[in-house]
Amino acid sequence: MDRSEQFRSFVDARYPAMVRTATLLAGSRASGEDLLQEALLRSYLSWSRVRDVGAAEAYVRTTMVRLLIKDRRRRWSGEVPTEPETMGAFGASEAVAAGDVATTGVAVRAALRRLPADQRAAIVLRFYADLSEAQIATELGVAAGTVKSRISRGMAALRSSGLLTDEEPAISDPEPRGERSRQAQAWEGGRR
Amino acid sequence: MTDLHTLLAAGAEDGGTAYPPGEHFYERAERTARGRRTRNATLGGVAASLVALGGAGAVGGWLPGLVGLNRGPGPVVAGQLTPVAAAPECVRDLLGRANARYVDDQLVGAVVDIPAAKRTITHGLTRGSGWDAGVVDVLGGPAAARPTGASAAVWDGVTPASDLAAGRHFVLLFLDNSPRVPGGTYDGPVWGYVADLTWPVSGDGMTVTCADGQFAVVPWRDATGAGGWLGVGAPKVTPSVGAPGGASTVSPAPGSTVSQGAGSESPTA
Repeated sequence: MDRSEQFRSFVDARYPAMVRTATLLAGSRASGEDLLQEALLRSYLSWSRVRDVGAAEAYVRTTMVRLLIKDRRRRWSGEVPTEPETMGAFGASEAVAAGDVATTGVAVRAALRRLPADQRAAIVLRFYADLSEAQIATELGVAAGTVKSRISRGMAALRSSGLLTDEEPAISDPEPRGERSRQAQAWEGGRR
Repeated sequence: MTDLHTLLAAGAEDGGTAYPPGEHFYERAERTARGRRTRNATLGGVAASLVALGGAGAVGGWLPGLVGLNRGPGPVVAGQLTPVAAAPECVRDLLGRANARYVDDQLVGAVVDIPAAKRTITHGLTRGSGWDAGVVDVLGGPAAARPTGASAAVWDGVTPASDLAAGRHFVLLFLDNSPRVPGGTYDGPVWGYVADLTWPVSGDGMTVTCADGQFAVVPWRDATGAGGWLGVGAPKVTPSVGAPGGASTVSPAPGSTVSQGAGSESPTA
C-alpha cells in the first residue's frame, strides 16, 4: 500500500470520528467539515512526515486546532451562529434537563460558538478528546498554566450560558481513559 | 448531573452520516501537491540563479535586475481561480468571443486530453491526421454533435502551427459526420476545433492569455451554469466591423432564447 492509499484508508476509517471533533471545534457541522477538509488537505501534503498511522488522527486534530486558532478570518472560526438560537426561549439548562439528545446538541454547539476559539479548543481537547493539560499545552504550543486558565474561563462561560451547573465538572486532571487514551499516546509518539 | 464529556458527545452529533471526501478532494490535494512541488522547484531554480548571478555580480561588479522573472501563467494552484467578472477585460473579451462562436455557430464546448502521438484519420471530410482525444467533460452544445464516448477523434486542422500541444485543453468542437466519399458510408465521427480559441486546463482552472501577456485562470466546470461564461445568457463578443482588432459586446436580451440545432458543421479549424 503506497502512502496515498494509506492516507485514503485512514480517512475512510476515521472520517466520522474526525467530523465529530471538528464539529465541536468549529461549533457547527458545516464549518467543522470545512475545517476538517482543510486540515486533511494539509495532512495529505505532509503525510510523508507522519511516521505512525496510529498518530495520524492526532496529527489531523492538531492541524485543525492550529487552523482554528491561528486563522480566525476563515469561515470555520466565524462566531456567527448557523443554527436557530432556540436557547433564548428554551434555555441550555432546560435542554439538558429535558434529556433530548438533539436539543442538547444544539445547546452545546451554540454555547461552544460563543466561546473564543482558544477556549473552545481547550475545552474540546480536555473534555472530549480527554487529553491532559500537559498534552493540550504541547498541542497548542502554550504553557500549561495558559491551558488551565483557558479551560477555567471557558467553563465559566459555559456555566453562565446555563449549559453547566455550578458543581460540575471538576477541572481536575484525571488520567485519560479508554480509546482516547490510546490515541493520546499515539499522538505523543507522532510528535517525535 | 450531566458529565461534560456526555454533553460534548451530544454536541458532536450534528446531522446525519458523515461521508469521507470523494475523488474531488484527492484531485484537489494532488493538484496542490503538484503546485507546491513545481513552486519549490521554481524557487530552487531562481535561488540557484540568484546565487550564480550573485557570484557573477561579485566578479563583474554588477547585479542585473530581475524584473519580469515571474511573469506569465504558472501552474494552477487550488484557490487561484479568478471569477470571470474579476478577470482582465481582454480575458473577458476572449471568453465572449468563444461564447459568440459557441452560441451562433452552435458548437460544443469540451475539455479534452490531447495525446502526444497523432494518428491518421481516414474518414469524414476532415480526413488527414489528428488525435484520439480523451473527453474529460462536455460543456453543452447541440446534443447530436457532442462526443458521447470516453474519447473522440479530433482533426488537427490544416495549419500545423495551430496544432494543440499534448495536454488538457478547453476547445470548441464542431462535428464532421459526413461520409468519406459522396454516397459512401459513415464510419465514425470526427471533430474539428476552433483553433484560435483553445486554452490549457489544469484542474478546475483554465488559463486564458491575452495577446499582451495578461492572463487569468478562470473556472471552466460551471461555464454553462447560471452566471457562467458559456451560453445564451452569457455575454457575446464579436469583432466589430470597420475596427480592425476591435470588438463589440452583445448583451443577451432578457428572456431571449437561441435554440441549438443538431449536427451543425462549421469547419473553422
